Amino acid sequence: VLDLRREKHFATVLCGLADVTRREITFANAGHLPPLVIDGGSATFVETAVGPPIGVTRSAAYGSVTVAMPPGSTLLLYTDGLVERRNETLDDGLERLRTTAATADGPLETMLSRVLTELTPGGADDDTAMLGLRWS
Amino acid sequence: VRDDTGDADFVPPPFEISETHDDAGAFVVTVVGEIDLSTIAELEQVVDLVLAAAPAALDFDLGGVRFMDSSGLAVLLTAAASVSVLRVVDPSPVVRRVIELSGLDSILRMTP
Repeated sequence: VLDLRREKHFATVLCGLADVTRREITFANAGHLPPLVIDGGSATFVETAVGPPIGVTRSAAYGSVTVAMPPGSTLLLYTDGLVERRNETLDDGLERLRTTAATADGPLETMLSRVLTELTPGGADDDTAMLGLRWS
Repeated sequence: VRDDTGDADFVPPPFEISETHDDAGAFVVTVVGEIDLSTIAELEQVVDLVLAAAPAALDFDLGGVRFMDSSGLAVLLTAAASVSVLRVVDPSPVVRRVIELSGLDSILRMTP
């Protein structure tokens, strides 16, 4: 699909398979930042078994991790532009996202707007994409 | 470096690259500053020159790197695909976490 040596870049991929009946999502992760599950005022990063991004090596193996999605919980996926800032580690940005998302309630669209506004005041350096999924 | 402040006195953050090598063909590239779209071409140029010399081993000393985006990772990975022994020496916390969270710590070996 992609070869770093040819294209000079790589891509991260986070793949999720939802089992609607069991209320579970199974993730495989190629170098992407961890998904966030927000439920009842608290937010937790899914500890995916992260492998290398695609385009880097042909011999990578990827593990899968399954998480429960309780009724009313929200899954948040995002690109690094949302959390990456100068003069701090990614952990600082991730923690800012976690605490902001935990207290951002209301409809899904409101939640996403609030997270985006609070994490990228004055616009982000890098491009930013978010995907929210609410389990009703 | 982009000047998005509109300030005429804007001073770009310092960025330095140096390269040394020994007789056995072990190269060390040291970077200080921020690795992003404004500095990546300079790093790429140095790395291309080093790779052209077919190094036996290549160390990147990134202890003085205060920011590194995915363009920096791409340059490191391109180098890793071309040399048999590549190490990231003394990575700053910023560099360490980018490499770990990107699932690249098995390819970009960090020491210590």
